[in-house]
Amino acid sequence: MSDSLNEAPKVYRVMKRDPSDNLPVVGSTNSAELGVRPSIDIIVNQAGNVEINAGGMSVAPQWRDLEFTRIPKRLRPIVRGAIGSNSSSCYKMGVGPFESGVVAEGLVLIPDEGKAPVTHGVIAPIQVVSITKYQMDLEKTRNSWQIDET
Amino acid sequence: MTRQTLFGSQSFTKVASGLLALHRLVKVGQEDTPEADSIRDALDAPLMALNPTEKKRAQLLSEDLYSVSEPLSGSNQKVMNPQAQQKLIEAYEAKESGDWDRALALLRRWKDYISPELLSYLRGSIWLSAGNPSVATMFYEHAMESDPENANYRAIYLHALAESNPEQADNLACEILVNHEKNEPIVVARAALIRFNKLENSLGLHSIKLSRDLIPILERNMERIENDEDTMRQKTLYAMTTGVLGFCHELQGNKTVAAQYYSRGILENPENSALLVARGILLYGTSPVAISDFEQALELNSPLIWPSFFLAHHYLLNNKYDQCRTMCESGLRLEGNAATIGQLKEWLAISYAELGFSPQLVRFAFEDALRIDPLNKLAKRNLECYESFINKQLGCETLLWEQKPIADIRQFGLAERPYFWAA
Repeated sequence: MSDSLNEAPKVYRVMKRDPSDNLPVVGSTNSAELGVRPSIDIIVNQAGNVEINAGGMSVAPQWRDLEFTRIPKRLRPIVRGAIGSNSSSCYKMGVGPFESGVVAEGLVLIPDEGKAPVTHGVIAPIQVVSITKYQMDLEKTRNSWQIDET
Repeated sequence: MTRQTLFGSQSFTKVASGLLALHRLVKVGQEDTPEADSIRDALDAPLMALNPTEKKRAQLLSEDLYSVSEPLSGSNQKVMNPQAQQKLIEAYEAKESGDWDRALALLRRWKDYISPELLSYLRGSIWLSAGNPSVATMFYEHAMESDPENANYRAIYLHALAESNPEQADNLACEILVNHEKNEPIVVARAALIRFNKLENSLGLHSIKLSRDLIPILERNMERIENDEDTMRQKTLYAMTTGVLGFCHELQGNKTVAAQYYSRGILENPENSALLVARGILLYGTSPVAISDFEQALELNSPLIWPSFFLAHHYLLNNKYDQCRTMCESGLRLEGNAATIGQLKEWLAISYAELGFSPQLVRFAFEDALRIDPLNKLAKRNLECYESFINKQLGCETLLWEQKPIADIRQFGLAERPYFWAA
């Protein structure tokens, strides 16, 4: 497990691009925003706290590993059949290998279990926190995301 | 080559359906809308459930659909050459053998040698053959829109639409029939078939009215077909029109006229097993032609249960038990409803008994018949008769089977048969 934020795992996610600063749009209404959809991406209990059960915000080790329905269609020459919105971009954050580890304050990468190569994982809270705190921790990463469609 | 029996799981069908919806939005420039985002969100779960082959297939389907949703402007079509021709033949053969992925891959590789509308038509045919009429409809729709003069594209589009969206197909069929003179005969025949299939699901007063309305339209269609040599060469069209006309007349109670239409169709299409079966059922017990129709349909490898069913009954009545057994066994390999299968099993049991098979086997066949169709009272009484005979009970020295009269069997066939010109 990475123990330093300087070696935080590199993760990719397709998110809507804010035209004012080219950073991801924060939100929890659909899965192309920086945030999670309560009860869909992660379980929230009656007290308003998230459950630690491998749910979280979906990410991939490479942008090409993301679902073709999410990859912007302008990237069709690279990924056949891509049919994501062109107002979204492929963003990356971190530098280290796609392994369990802290990705930002309060957040950890949990790669899917199964045979290598793993192509999907989630960014989950490190510990039980309120959904509000979890969304805020995700929002705080906004400036760390960079567009990478190479 | 292995036939792919399952071209897609339930999740794949959901993904394909979502992709169609997304590409329809792409077509009208709406792919960046909340509606498109909702579709993408809804696709996440079924996409996760796909195996790697299905996921690849879905991705390639999306790529192929761009030829419909965002067709390239200008023509990049290359001149056909023998190699490309050979590859297209291979694609057709792959489709026929059920290797749909290979058929689609060959089209993808050699698409530059065929026109966009033909490419869409071929892709539609593969998807229809693979059991996904929704995807087929979208490709056929593109073929039809790209070449509006081609009546065959319109007709096949209607056919696929009837499977993917019956309500929309029925509405379109109504419009076509109202303006039937303005539409090509093949389109009119297909529209009539769609209306007719709807009628088949609701037999009664409505069906009698509908068949009465269809008769003049189809008779005019026959006239147009017969007055045009090119159209007359379209055997399927002629068979479809005579078949539906025959059935409409049957519903009107004009059995003689119905038989005449079937005969006209058979005269032009002697190898159309559906027409042979239709006439056979209509004439069973009243003309020896029925038996030869069923025999011929069997020789033509009819996929329908009816030739075996009626011939089994015919041999049973004529005490030809070995032939009856053979017919029952061949019929039981085909699709049929419980009442039909139940009767075949009962006749098989009788044949076994008459041929001296073991009582265990005879009983098993009777019990099987009753298990499949518990309402088959005749099978129950015949089993009792057999048991009495085996136990040598008083008054039961010989086997006296109870049998349905020929007219009842004919009526049963007329009522139970599904409509079979659809293909």
